[in-house]
Amino acid sequence: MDKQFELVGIVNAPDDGEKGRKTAVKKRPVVSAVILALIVLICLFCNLVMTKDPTYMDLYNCNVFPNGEFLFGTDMLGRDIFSMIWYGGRISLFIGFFSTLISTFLAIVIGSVSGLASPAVDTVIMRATDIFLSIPSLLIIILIQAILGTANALSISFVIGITSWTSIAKVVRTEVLRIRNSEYVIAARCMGSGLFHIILKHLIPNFISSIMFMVIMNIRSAIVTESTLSFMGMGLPVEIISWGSMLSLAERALMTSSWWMIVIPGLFLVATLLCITNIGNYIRKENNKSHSNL
Amino acid sequence: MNSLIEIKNLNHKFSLTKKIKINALEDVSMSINKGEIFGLVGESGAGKSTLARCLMNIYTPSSGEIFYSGINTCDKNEFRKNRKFLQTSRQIVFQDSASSLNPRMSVSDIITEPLVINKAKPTHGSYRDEAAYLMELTGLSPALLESFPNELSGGQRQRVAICRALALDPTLLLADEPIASLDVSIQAQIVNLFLKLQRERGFTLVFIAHDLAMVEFLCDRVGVMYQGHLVEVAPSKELFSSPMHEYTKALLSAIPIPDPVAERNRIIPVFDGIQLGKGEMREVLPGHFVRCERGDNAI
Ligand SMILES: Nc1ncnc2c1ncn2[C@@H]1O[C@H](COP(=O)(O)OP(=O)(O)OP(=O)(O)O)[C@@H](O)[C@H]1O
Ligand SMILES: [Mg+2]
Repeated sequence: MDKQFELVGIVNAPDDGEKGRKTAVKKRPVVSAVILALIVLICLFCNLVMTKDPTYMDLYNCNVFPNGEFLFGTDMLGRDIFSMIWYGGRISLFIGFFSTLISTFLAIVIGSVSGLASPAVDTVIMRATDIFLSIPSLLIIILIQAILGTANALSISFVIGITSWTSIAKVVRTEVLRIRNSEYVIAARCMGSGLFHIILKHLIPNFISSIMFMVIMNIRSAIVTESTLSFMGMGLPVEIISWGSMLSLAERALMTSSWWMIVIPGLFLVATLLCITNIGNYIRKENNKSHSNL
Repeated sequence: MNSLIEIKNLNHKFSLTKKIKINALEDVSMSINKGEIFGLVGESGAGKSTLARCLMNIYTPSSGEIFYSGINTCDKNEFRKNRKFLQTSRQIVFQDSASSLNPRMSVSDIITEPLVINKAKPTHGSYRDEAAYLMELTGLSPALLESFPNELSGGQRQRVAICRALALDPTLLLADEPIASLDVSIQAQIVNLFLKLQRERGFTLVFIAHDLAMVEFLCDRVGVMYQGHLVEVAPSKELFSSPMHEYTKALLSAIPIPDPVAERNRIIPVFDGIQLGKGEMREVLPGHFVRCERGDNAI
């Protein structure tokens, strides 16, 4: 009875759905997320962990090696590095997030307008973007800094933000060109929807996943740019504590062989950047996977 | 005549390059009456979708006029003046329900989108209630309110698209091959749904389809398109019983006969794809228009 009919030629597809999911879970950057969350949280609530006033210059304790009182030692101005790390981290992270906010906003607006506009307007915007892209951003930064006067966290964020939107804007434009001809956008237009509604409800939700990786990498590069600028003496002045401005003392620190002044802020900077990179890579992989599933 | 739409000498060209142009619509003239179901048939590439999109102001025709309730919608100024009225009283349902619904919006958001855009007050309580009411109207379970389009079947998605089109209680509903991407049993359900909704609400339905049997069942009048030309317009019964234009005859003969012997012995008239030149629509019988070549007296 049971062997009367047998289906031949059908090979069951290997059921690797479960396995695939497991490896994805395994690769989730839990460690990075935890470390990053810790750093961000402690920086946000730095008042609770700081043992000293990070801006107070204790002239009796300059260049002190890490010890029980000064956990990470002091710098050559006598400031407590342990307190400065958290206090300054707040500024570095703020600059990372805020400048990314500015550049992402610019990228979405410029990319969407360019993608939705008529071909002529689109060409003009894209040419302008290319010209902007071909000017070394350092040049623009120095120019704007000179106009804005003495740097502070807000002005640095602004400067970094308006120089780093171009590559995201190009991706946004490509995505918008793809989405704008889809029938749900046409239907929305027929109903009389305005540009704002289309961008907010139809475009952003559909391209956000493809720019997420770039946005996260933008946070990273903004933090790096701030550190680089401060290190070169073009960023935040020494009085405004950030990881970058702490590193700006590196040259003099090397002369007195006080390595902890460089290594400790450097370590925090690198750890944060690594965590962000890991999370960004994970998001990119997830995004690719969901695309290939379609 | 109580016509809702008057199309006069409509032409539409797509320019692929500066030199190469496609005449998607050539000299199309017809009228669509208030409250009728008008079918539009023709082979692929005949220009049916282009006509529908011109009717919705998605494309601006190269020349010619479309009057909707007496408003010349091809005229920019007149369109702008009556924008709100035109955009709320005409709605469209597309062929592919998968791409006509935003994958990132929930069913309830999709259905109430026209209301939100036009800041219209829902008639059945909150937006959510309105969505639930429309879903019941089209035979969808309100349990699907919070689902996303990729969680629905093709038939369910098409019903959601119909709900969205009905949300503003339109006067004109354009359905551009709404059943072409569905399987046969679901096709019948959706066609019956259109029929039921049209009877209940009395809107004018322009139904574009490939499936002639469905058109015969559903439509009051039918227009046949061929290579951008409208070749015949007639009441549905009359068109299917006594087609006049060569192309219509060839098209109708392609419907299979449910009798194997007759089917095998049938001689299918060959339509040798004559190049249509200048021609005009002539009313050969009351309400039955056929396109004749100019200077040609015989039909
Ligand atoms: N956006 C466009 N750009 C250029 N040519 C187009 C465009 N849309 C349609 N066409 C051309 O216009 C002609 C008519 O196309 P249309 O989509 O109206 O046909 P259709 O009758 O709807 O066909 P189908 O039954 O396959 O949907 C075709 O030759 C097509 O190649
Ligand atoms: Mg079509």
